[in-house]
Amino acid sequence: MKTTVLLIAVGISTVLIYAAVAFAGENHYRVDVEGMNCPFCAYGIEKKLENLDGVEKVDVELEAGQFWLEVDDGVTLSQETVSDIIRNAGFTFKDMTQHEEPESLRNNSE
Amino acid sequence: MSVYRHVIGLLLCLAASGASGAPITFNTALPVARGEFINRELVVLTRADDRQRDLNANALVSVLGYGANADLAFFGVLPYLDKELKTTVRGVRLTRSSEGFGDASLFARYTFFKQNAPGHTFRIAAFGGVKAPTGDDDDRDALGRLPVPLQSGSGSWDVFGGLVTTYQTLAYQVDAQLSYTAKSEANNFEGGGEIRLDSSFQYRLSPRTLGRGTPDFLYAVLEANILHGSKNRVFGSRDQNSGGTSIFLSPGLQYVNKRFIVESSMQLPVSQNLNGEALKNDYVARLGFR
Repeated sequence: MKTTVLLIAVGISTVLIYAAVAFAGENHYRVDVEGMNCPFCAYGIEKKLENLDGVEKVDVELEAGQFWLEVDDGVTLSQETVSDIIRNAGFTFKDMTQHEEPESLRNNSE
Repeated sequence: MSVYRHVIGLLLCLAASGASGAPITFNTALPVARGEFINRELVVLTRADDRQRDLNANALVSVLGYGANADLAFFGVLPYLDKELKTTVRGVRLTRSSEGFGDASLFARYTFFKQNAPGHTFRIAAFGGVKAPTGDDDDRDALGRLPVPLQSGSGSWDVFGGLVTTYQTLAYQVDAQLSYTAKSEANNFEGGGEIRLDSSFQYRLSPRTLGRGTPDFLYAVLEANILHGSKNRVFGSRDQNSGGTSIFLSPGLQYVNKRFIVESSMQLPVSQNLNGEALKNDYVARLGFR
């Protein structure tokens, strides 16, 4: 009986640890935008994204037409809110996906 | 003395709206974000002379834009003018000048077509507005009332409108605008209507290749402006020394940062086929910040 309880406890702990690791790793969002071709336009959107609750940092990859958002642990961004910001700035929201910290941003912060 | 009218006409078209790299001598179809204000300050120095006349017209033009939504934006333009005209009459050199706020303009711009795609955007917008007679149109000096073109204000309500289109990529940008200004009568003077065709090509000089992040851009700018003005009417009669067609080329530079844009251009006459003894431009220099 003791062995069974121990095995269950170990199993649950393992699942929880994996979940926590996975959750902590995906605290970045990539937002794809079309039609944005100059630094000045990007900055207007960047300011508004930075003001969203839970957003720690925003990086812009102008050539790729992407915003990378780093959010606090446990924060989930609403796609509707982000797409509204893009659309209201006059550009086309394409997609928003959750990621681990990309290699390029990791190198940037070193 | 169509150069005076050109100064005012150019001011009306300076409200380059957009937030991004945009033409220096006219408008753009690039967006102003919803709820955002943009500001532009532009110094315009106009020089014109002939054997008897020497004109210096300097203007500080303030433009405030507001994005009502992604497609509709409103703009207000207020120039501060400093004009000086030196003339030689029967061997006597006379200097007459005026200084003060000119006529304010308000206009709206609506983008009715836009195509955003990876790496480029294409837009067409219509704009229209009114110039109100807010400037002083009864300025006087020791010789009496200044001639109408030398006044800071025209005294007339004028309307203007047109179409502007923009194609922008990461490497270059093309803008074109067709506009018309209709002028009304004030103080027994009615400026001739003016039609303009403007075009602009901007090419990114730096950085040559885009890396990661958001680098600052340096654009080389070349703009062309074709202006045709009808003759003015003075006391109901056509002024034979006004109106005509001018073609200008404006090479310039524009530095675009995330937070601001600094730009400069020199507008040079290529052809000035003006009526009678209308004064011809030597150059129009611009230095702007937005």
